[in-house]
Amino acid sequence: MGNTVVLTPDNLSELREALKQAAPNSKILAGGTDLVLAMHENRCSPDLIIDLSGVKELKYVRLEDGHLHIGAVTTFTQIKENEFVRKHALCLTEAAALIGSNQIRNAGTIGGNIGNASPAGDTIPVLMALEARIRVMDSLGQVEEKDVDELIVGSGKTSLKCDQVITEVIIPVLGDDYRSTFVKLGSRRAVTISKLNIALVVKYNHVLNTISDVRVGLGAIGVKAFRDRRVEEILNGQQADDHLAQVLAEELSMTVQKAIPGRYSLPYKKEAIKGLAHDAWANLS
Amino acid sequence: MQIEFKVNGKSCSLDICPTMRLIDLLRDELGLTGTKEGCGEGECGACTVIIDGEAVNSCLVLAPQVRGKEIITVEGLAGDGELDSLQQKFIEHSAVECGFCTPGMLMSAKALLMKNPHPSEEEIRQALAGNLCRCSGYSKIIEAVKDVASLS
Repeated sequence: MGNTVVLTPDNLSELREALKQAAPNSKILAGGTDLVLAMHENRCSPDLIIDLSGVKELKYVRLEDGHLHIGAVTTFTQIKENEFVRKHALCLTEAAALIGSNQIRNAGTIGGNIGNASPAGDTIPVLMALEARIRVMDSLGQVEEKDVDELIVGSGKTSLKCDQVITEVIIPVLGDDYRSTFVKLGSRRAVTISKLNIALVVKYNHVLNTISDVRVGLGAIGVKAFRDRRVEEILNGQQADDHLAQVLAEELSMTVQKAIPGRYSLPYKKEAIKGLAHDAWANLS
Repeated sequence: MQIEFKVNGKSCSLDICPTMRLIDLLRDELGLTGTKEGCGEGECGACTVIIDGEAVNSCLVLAPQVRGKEIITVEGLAGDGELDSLQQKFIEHSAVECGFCTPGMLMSAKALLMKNPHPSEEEIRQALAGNLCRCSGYSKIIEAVKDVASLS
């Protein structure tokens, strides 16, 4: 690691310049809570690190044209405390509040959580359920938008080119008739890495007591988070009652059994997800 | 690489190895050994310091990240030969047993009180959730912080 170069751009134009030097073994440093540890444990020895700490232009939450725009270097503390996020994407507020400890939330960023592509990353199933788009920029300043599912390709793997960086998360706001939540299960109640997590978004018709546009994001099951379209179809248009909570629990258990057959954690996860499903359902009402 | 930052009110300009962690910069380069390394992976909070008003784990910060920033370590709490009220209350409540978690506990509590001088017990517990004490001293620590929070 003695030869590692750290570049410290202070704005977007310096960032583009820095990206010109990026190679396959280079790393982007956002908050550092994952990368610094990986380097210290010799799991990762980049030749070049581009530190985004100084790029203040990437630290914001804005509400524009019916979308939340969140800069990649916005911390979980800033997201958790933001009123726009709470009002329009409550499940993201809940996820940010449950990540790590206060110290981790003060350093860790949403862009870092996506780019690190951990199978247990808490914002990933949430952003899938919110149908977020991820804006990325390359060394020439060219910008493109990707779905979370396109951007994350496996455990710790993204489809980003080495000269691309995540700059923004764009979330269509949920209407007033939507409800959303995020729940997770880890080995302790607080400050824990998810062993399972669920993001749930539904459109609720209070006259008919039915739900539609159901979106279920699941994390920490297999190598990457995913939308459970099968369960979404089963729930769409149904009566929002206790029976449906039971259906959700049983069907998610089925999903776990299909997703990780033979995995040592399967006997635990296929039962545990039922309790987590009931927690999620209870949060919606 | 050359970086400039402030620690406990003093300006520093240092030539550092860019892959060094903040905790190593503080302890090995600056001799500020009050900051402790417990787990080294962001679980225990013993290495907590305050950067620009926010509590962070110094074992998860790369030294170049602190350029231009203002750091407070446990050494920065006492001033003019007088203990900070948090330190005083930790002593009065016997909230220190082996003492290894204490600097981190103090810095997490200090960051909370800097933002919110009168936090509720729940807010105190939230702020300290990332700090582990293996001598089972949580109750006394919470009481000590509550005591400071009740001071006008």
